[in-house]
Amino acid sequence: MSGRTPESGGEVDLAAIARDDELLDALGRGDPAPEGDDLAAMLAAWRDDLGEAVDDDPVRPATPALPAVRPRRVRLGRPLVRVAAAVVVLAGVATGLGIGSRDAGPSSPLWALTQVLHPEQAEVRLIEDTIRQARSALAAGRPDEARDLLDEALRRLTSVEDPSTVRRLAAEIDALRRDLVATVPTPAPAAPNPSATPTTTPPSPGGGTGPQAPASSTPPPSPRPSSSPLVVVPVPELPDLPGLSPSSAAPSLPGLPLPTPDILD
Amino acid sequence: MTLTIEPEAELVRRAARRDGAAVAALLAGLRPGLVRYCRARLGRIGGAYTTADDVAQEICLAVLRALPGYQDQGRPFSAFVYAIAAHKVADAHRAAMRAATVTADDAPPEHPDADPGPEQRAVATDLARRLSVLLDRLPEMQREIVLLRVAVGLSADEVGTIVGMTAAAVRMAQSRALARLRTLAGDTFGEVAA
Repeated sequence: MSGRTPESGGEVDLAAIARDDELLDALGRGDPAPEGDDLAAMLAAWRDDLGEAVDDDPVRPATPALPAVRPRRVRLGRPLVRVAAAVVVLAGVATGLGIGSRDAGPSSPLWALTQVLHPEQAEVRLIEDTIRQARSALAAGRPDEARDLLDEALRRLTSVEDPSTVRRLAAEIDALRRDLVATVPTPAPAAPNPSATPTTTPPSPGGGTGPQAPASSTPPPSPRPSSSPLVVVPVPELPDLPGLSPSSAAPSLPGLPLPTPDILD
Repeated sequence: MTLTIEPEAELVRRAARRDGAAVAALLAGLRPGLVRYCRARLGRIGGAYTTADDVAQEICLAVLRALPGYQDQGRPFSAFVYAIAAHKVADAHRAAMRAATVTADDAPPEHPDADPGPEQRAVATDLARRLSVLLDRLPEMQREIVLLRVAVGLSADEVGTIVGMTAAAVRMAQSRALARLRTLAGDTFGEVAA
């Protein structure tokens, strides 16, 4: 405590520290400097100068100063007026931006504000945007992209809390899903029926339209086995491969001693 | 305007939940202090406070963005705000230093009292300018403490949290700063009188 002394010399005395502390508190509140204290007067003037026109609308450029006209007498009243004015202005600006940004989409200049002020609203806009993209992807004949986008929209939907919004968006996603399923499988079912038993194209329906088309196409195989033993063939075919492997392994081995033929020659 | 009377902690909580009115009230309360802080730190760049005010605005937005993270920290809200502010101001300061040299306007007028002018305002501006020159001659920490105490209006405890000192250490440092300023000011007054 009684360590070093202030620059001006003299002892560190607690009374002086308390006095200085009080003075700084008062100046910090914007109170006028006590009479006869030059440094306090400077500090007060400095603080006042820094606060000049703080209440101006931050969005617009400051009004071309009318400094001389401004009354300087009401020292205690002015800060209050300033605060009140600042509250009014900021409330106006914030409400305006707040309302404006509420409906802003990702492409809007207010989008950043939307994300800050209305995070859920922002999420909803993102989902709507994703659904829109999915719709146009589907219309443009890019079903895979549409499916990915719908999946993403559905994932995002879990973070939306408002039940009616969730219902609405989920309905939109569902509708698009049905459209997607309706457009994609049409080429697939046509192929399996004719012949091509080995290539019944199980992979292609399994890839995308799993729930719908394959369900109806899988039953047929069971009645047929008698008439077409070929269907069973795929199973033996697999064992066949290992049977081939020795022969395939053999050619690979000779590959190693390639030099020998040269020697033989 | 009951908004301004509302306790800060509650305002902060509501603002963190994106309550529009709370955000507006919180910013209205923060902004004057932030503007004074930025102006004191950055001064008039190119003769105007425009840059400082822009930085203050930027800090307001940064505070809003960071608000959800504040809850868990358990520090005074002012410490949270002015940590962000100090960071942004330092960035702006570096940018400004790179962009332009500091104006010579900051130098004290040669005869401050020779031309008092008809208005008190001229005197006040002159006093303010002289003080900012004196402040530049304080050690950095003392300057920051005076700035946060007087320009922003924070308590010694709040300042302590911001600069990483105990409140008692802040009170010692600020007394030392005032003593030094008085000495410096005395010198200039002496010169003028002589």
